[in-house]
Amino acid sequence: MVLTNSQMEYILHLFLEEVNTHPNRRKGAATSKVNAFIALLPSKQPIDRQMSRRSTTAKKRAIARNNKIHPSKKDPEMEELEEQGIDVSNLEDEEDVHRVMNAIKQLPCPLAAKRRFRAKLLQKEIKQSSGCCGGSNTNRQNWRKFKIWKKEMSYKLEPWGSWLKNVEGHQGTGVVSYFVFLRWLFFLNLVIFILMLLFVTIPYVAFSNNGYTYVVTGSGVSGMSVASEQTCSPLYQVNVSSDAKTLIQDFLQGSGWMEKTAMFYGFYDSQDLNSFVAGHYSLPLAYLLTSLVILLFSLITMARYTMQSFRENLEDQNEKHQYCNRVFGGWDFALSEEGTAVLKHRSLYKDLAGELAEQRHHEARKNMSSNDKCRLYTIRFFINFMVICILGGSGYLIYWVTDWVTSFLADPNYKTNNDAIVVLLVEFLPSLTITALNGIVPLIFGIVVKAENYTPEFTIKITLIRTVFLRLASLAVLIATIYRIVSCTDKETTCNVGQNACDSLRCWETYVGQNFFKLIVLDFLVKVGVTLGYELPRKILTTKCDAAICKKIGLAEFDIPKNVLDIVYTQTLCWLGFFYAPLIPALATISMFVLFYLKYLSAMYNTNPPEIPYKASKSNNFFMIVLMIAFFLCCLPVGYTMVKLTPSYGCGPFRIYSYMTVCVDATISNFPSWLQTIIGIFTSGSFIIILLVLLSLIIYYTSSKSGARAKMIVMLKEQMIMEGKDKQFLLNRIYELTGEKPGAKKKDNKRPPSNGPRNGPPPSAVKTVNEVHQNGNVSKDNDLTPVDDVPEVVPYNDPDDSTRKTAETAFKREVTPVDWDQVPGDENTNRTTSTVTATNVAFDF
Amino acid sequence: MGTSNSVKNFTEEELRHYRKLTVFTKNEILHVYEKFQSLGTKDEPLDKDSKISREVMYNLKELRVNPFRDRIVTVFSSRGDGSLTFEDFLDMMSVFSVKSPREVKAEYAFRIYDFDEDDYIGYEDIKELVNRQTGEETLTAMDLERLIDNIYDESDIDEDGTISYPEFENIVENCPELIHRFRFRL
Repeated sequence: MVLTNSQMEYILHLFLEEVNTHPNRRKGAATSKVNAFIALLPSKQPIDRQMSRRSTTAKKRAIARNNKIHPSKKDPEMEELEEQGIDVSNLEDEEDVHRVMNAIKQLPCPLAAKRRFRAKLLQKEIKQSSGCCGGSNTNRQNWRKFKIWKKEMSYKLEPWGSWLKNVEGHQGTGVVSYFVFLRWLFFLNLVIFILMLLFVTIPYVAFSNNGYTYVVTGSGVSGMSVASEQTCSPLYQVNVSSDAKTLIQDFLQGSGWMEKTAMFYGFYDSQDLNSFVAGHYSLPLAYLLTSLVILLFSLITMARYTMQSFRENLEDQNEKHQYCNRVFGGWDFALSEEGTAVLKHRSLYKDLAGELAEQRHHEARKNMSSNDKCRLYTIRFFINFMVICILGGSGYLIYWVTDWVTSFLADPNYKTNNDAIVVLLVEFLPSLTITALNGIVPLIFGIVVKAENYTPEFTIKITLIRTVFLRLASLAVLIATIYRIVSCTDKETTCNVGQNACDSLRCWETYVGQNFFKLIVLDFLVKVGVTLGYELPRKILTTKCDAAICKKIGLAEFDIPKNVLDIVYTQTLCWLGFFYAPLIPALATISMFVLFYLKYLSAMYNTNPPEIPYKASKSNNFFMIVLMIAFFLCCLPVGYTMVKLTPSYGCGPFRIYSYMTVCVDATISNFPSWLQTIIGIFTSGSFIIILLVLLSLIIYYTSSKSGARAKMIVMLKEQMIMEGKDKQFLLNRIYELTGEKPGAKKKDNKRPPSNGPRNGPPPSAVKTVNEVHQNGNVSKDNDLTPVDDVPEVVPYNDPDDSTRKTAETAFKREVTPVDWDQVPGDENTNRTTSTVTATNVAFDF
Repeated sequence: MGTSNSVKNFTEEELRHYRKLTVFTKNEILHVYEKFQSLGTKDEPLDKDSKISREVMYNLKELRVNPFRDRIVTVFSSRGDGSLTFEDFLDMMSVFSVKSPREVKAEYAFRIYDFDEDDYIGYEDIKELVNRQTGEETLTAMDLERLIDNIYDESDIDEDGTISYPEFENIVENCPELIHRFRFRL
């Protein structure tokens, strides 16, 4: 990557030629020349290799022509074209003309000029043209048109595309990323729902022949008992009340009439569906496999989404250009609404101010005294301790509440002894506790984190992590409580239903499903409530009331992390619940769908953009990782249920199996024996061990490869810096030769006199460098701007020190391995002496 | 008004020319023309030969709120007097179109941001750029100073205190947002 000698030779050669041929050239011309040379440098070329080569050669050629190295007699238009970097030297066939035409289209010059070029070119074309272009061209055009049309259509058909644009105009890209995430989850849930519907619910509802006619597929497979099923199934009864109030209550709780609907596990049967077109349709197998496919599908889509955003993230993780990106790419030229523009101004201001504040924060941290540091760390330690205590306390609270509620409901007469409202409240108590904790505890976290004095970005992250822990922990406690109830050992032998101290759950899977059902319903209601009951009144209060206190309350802020966590939580519930309540994905889909409009409402009207400028791409990854963690945690209980827990004898598709996975064994036992053998080999322990070893080897290989690449990246970066230094060194020589220093004067004139911090050298330092150069016999005009190449390591607020350092760094830089004696052109130019002197200075220095 | 009316204003030859010289299709050109005409009033209808003054141009939806509107008009005015003919207008729309290539956008962005038109984006230019973008609230002098330092750190490769066009190209390559946002909705 370092400039090779030949490259430098080339540049110098061109340059010396230039110096020789135009001793009295205009200043502006030379400036552009120097810039043209800068443009020639390898690191200035676009990353896209192919492009770069082409444009480099074009530029080189253009420069070469300008330099009259290859003098040619051409029309002025053609020359102008060449100056723009378009090669018009050999226009033999139509392809070439077409290419140049396209290039003209993309020239950055007024239409009139383009027309002139074109007219000239067409004249030429007439001379050489031979016949018409034929059908291939029109074909290509049609294809291009089709592609454009396709692109436009996909743009138009993008769901909620214009909604997202509105949000973007109002709230900025950060909030849009939330909506994109929400939309993504909506579609994920939709797919999960459709899968469940297609392979489980519809086949069962459409083809079940009421009655229990079993085609028991497996023969000789242990763990199947039809007998206990036949005694237990009739025992599983649900009291359906016709009272309207109870109906609604049942709907919210998933009990009563809801319990025996397709929503829950208990509704499904373990029979093979005979009427299905392709012979038997084994519902248990379909149920199990669909669940597995859903989990796998979720994993793959998540991984793809993460990889995609990860890659994007890597690409624009250009920390090097973050300020440039903000300042030069800050304004969205497409904005056309007055209010939006005002918001954009404000958000740009906040973004810049925030970023600068963060930088200051970093510097302040560096300069902190050890006493302050000690205090800060003590505070942090205590706050972390407190957070752990809060988390533990919350967990215990949920545990205790669930325990109490179960014992309350265990009393067979609880419905008659208590008011219906109380019963409803008690039934919802665990869910209410979890939701309340999720609402209150993050607020506490948000307050305490301020005392910890983290950077804004890290503040978001740490609060998020704590909140995530809270949510997952509360869910985990709930699951643990349910597990304790389900795996209660004191059970009667015939139907495996709990007795005495254990709760008698005829269909524990439905019970689990009901719990998640309740959570999802409640979660949804809370979200609606918060939007309509908190944000909307606040908005009304702010707009309608003129009192100072109302103004002070202001609009709520669109809190992206909290909102993202909310939907991640909903998704977690969906993954946890879909196995026990196959239609929970439908609920989640509806919830996401409504939520989109609700949040749109609050984003457009009720809330202000977030105060903290939010880095969409970075945090997106973080949210995805949170989602992944949640997913794996969801897989644990579901997988455990499939493999280790005995299904209820009285309900569900697995009622005749002692474990859910037995249905797979039963199906396999019906396969031809050779297939059975193969499957046996693939599922045997030894094969899996080999597979594991292989996988770990692959992981080891890839990880070591990525480690090596990381090292390579560091090395390349270092090389890049070195290259930059080389280049600078070279440029300085060029500037010295021409006595030219583009822009430097301007800056000195224009910069306000009282400008303390700037990375340029302080005046004294400049002087010193200049003096040193003068002492070194470099013959130059004194009015020239001094060599302005002090590296950025120089601290700008300390002129004396920097003077010394400037000299030092300048000295160090001369060590760059450039063999100036090897540069050709030294001997065969008039300026040889001066060049050599300059070089000598460089080394003597 | 309408498409048929607009077609009458151009000869086939002219339309073909415009199509070849801009990134637009025929329909888009007509659409641009409609947009151009919409700037005229009842008393002074615009046709393809009329010039619009700077002030009238500011009525364009995109320019109304754009903090760089004066620069845009100046840059695209082929006469340099701040008035735009239809061809200049078409030029502008072409550059700000989604379809126009990165190099062109970079070039024009550079010209727009070069407030003092000295072919360099210098200290004052960046200051102006930042102040125009932040609107009513302005960064404190210290923050501005620091910000410009940071920008120079990132982009001023030859450390001459200005950003030249090659340096700007380098920025553009590293800031995909710039090109992405340098567009008008047509």
